[in-house]
Amino acid sequence: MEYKFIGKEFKRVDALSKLTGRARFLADIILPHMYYGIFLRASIAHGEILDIETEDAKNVEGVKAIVLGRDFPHNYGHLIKDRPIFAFDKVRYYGEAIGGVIAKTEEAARVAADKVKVSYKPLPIITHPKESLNNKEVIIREVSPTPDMVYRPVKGTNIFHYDVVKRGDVEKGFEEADIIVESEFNIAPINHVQIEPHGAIALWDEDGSLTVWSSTQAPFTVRYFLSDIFELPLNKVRVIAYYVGGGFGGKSDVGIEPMVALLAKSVPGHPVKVILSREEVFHGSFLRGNFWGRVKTGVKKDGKIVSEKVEFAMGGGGSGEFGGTVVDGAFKSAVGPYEIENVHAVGYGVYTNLPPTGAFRGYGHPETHWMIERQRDIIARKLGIDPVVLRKKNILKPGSINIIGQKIEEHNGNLEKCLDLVVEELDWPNNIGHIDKKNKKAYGKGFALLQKSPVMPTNAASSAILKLNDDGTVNLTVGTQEIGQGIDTALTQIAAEALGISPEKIKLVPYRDTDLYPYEWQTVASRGVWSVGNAIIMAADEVKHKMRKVAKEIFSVDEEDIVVEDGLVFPQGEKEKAITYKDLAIGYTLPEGSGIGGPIVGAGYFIPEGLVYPDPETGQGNSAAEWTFGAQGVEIEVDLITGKVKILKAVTAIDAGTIINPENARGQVVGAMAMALSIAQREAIVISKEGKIRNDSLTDYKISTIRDVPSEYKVFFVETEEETGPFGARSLAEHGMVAMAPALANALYNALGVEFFKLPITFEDIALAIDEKKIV
Amino acid sequence: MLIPFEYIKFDSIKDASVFLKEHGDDAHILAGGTDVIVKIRARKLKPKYLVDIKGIEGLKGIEKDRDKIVIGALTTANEVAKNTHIKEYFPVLKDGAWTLGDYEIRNRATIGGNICNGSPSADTVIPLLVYDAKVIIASDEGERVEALDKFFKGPGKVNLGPGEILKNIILNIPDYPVKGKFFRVSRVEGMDLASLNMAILVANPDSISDRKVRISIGAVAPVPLRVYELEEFLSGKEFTKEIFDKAKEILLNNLNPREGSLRATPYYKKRMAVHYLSWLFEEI
Repeated sequence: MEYKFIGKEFKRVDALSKLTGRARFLADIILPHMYYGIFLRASIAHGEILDIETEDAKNVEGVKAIVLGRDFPHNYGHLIKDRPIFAFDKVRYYGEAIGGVIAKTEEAARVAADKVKVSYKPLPIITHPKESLNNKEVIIREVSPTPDMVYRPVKGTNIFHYDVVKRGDVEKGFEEADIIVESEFNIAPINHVQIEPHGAIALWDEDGSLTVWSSTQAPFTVRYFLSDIFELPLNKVRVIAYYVGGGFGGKSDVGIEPMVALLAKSVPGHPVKVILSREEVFHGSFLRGNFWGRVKTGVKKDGKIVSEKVEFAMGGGGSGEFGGTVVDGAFKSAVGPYEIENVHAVGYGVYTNLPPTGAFRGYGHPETHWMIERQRDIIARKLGIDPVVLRKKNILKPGSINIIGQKIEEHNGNLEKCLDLVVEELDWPNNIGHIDKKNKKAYGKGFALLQKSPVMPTNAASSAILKLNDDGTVNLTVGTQEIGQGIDTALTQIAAEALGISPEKIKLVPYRDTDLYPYEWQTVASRGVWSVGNAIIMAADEVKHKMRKVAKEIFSVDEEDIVVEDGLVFPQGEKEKAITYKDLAIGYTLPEGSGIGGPIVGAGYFIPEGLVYPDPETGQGNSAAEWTFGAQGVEIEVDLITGKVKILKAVTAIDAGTIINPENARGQVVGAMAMALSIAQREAIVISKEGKIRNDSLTDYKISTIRDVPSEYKVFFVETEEETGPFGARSLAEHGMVAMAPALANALYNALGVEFFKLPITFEDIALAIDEKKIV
Repeated sequence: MLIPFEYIKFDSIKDASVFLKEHGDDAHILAGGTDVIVKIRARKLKPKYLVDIKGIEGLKGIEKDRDKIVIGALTTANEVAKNTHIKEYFPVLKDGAWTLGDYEIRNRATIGGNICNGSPSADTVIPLLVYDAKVIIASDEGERVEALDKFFKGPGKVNLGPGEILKNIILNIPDYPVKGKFFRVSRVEGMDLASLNMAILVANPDSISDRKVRISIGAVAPVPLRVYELEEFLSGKEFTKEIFDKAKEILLNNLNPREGSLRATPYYKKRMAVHYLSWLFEEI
């Protein structure tokens, strides 16, 4: 379809303010009478809190109050109530907050915090999910099931949630198979490393209302939890969010806000500000939990997969509330984008003595795809067939049934075309790998497939308000958050297309405020364009409908005979009579002077319709709103001396439906590829025997620098229009993360002949493998 | 955020020295601040007084004095790396200085600070060692000269007495042909600390009998390491396969990298040190 503003280049609406430093972030906010807070953090990874001595700290000049977990012993949660604001009975991970100090200056708070003495009764620690899954002696947290609990904790274990998929009969499938392939996989825990650390300011007013400024991806979820915890009506909690300096999921779950709000409660009338240090971002926010899994696959000689059994466990840290839904996301993609008759998959979320697991770009999908897309290449090798052929025999196509029982339709996208584009770009199967002994280099190519749906509640809703101004310009307010992903720009283009006016005439009002802006569930799950975009189209329809209602009076024709297009309103066939949006914006003035109509505001909403909870025993049911399919690949050069891998080319072909803004969309995919490869090549939280994060700073938690990222990126968009999406768009933001790690490992096999089963695959791992195989 | 301390700036070594002596462990020297401020932020260092020596005359710049080069302790890493004398006579030092931190850090970080920080993998120290650098240490009582190799006592510990300040680094310009190289591996190609760094210098490379070899390695011992045993073994030798095998053995016997380093495993460090040693046998 031809669009005026969709799919066209349009500069980011936030570009100038961010380039000039005018854009406001939480750290910029300084309020009158403001105090500063520092959290007190546990110095052991697991133990009962025996005593906390605060006298010396209280005497530090400038200290206003010290708040401890035991002052407010409360576990909150929406799915499972297992998140203390501050630990009060025991600490479950090193660095867990047990309280905080409020002082006139940050320095005074720091000095005082160092003087607080805590004694503990240490308990044994567990950090690996497989160990936690099998352990019955060390129980990190016990939660008794309640009727309203959504998760499924298993009594007497560390399991706080699990999901099951059952289709067909796997055992029968294995009997029918010609070969069986079994593999076991691991992934290290990682941190998001947003440029902007987490922070919040809280202020309690005399009337008992609470205002919180936060760097969050989810102001309305923050409001919900604050209202629940402090027993306030929602209209007495106001959450204000400025620009967010990077989220990647790590600012969508509620962590710091209740803590700062509890501190501020002891000094009403004074805002209390806390910004985490980089070290605290590692200890005191959220991680992508460590992951263990095993896959058993039964395959026919011709490559048809007949049966697959998947078991995995994700380390959830000390609280499961925000980690269990990652398992929910992962299980829907437990066997990747394939149609398999017999499947049995079980995914567990287990407590560990690490910081809590939360959302991380990809939401469980990079983890399952790491296993499945490695497994596919391994199977192809065992059968001696091309991995492209193997995949094509099994991938989801229109008419296929996926593992949760959904039938794939044409409009869901064209996975096969994505695969073709990637292998063509890689010139597959030519020169897929060789060792150049003379130059001490090895070269390899690899690829992998991906699928992802937005992981969200069945009723995750969005809304939007369009307000016409009397000069014909438009103000747009939405509740979704600009976190650097470019949502404000894409939504401006959608509003322009829907209203038929140029995007320059639309101001998407920056920043968010739950008192002033319409509701949004969260800015996560790559669903912003899709969900809020639909709400904007509905709001635009209401604007047009209101204009028609007034215009029919002006032109004395029926409402259906009024045309609204390109900023003009006129009776069918009489364009020369056209009036403009400007004429109608705040009510139309008739020639004799009387007004009709009134200021025009359009409101729209969206909720995914027809989604249901998966069946608890089989995982079957329409629980995924839409799917995005894609393929990714890399060409690599391995230095046989250092073990270092240079990514010569990184490729993604993705069917994200209609692309709203090509430059931004490409940026999303390229950024995701770079991030995924950084994670795959080097990122790991290193945990000491005592359970302490040893690399809690950017000195030793290394992410790729500009010199480490791929030399070349290729991005292909296949644009199969999505029926449920605005102008045919669907989800895009996380997907570039999902299959890069297996693509890299598959390329490493083709280069070196070595199978890697864990992430990250560091240059030291590669050097060791080179030595063990005596490649040089 | 930094916990509070008092900042004091002096314009003479004498005044700074007297103050430092008077306040002992409560006072700490501030040069470029790229290590000190980080340590204060991490509360590994809690000085009452931070003594800025950047106002002291004569501690900055690189001078040629007949057959010597004198480097002021406050000369920044970028100034070292870009200096024509250093480029001409001490290219291995130029390369080492150029890998320290990133460009912005090198604009602040001083060579004296890099030495006095006492890191076993300091990027200027490893090259300075193969050039047999000497350091001049000053206090209100006068000056003393020490071989840089004797200056290191352990991780983060250097041989500075109460009130002593590192003033200059002295390098003798070689009056014989030399060939050398600086090697470094780190976890990322952008800014990172060295997982291992190493310098090799060969005097009279083209004459087997007059050949002298000097080797220093970082991040393999509690201090930056000169491998004298290996130097002695290699000097005056023809670089054959047999000699390499023996040299490798001596090298590995001298390395003692600690387990549990976040920068690299002992295995990897040893492997890379052996590889860098092979340069001698391939390029000389």
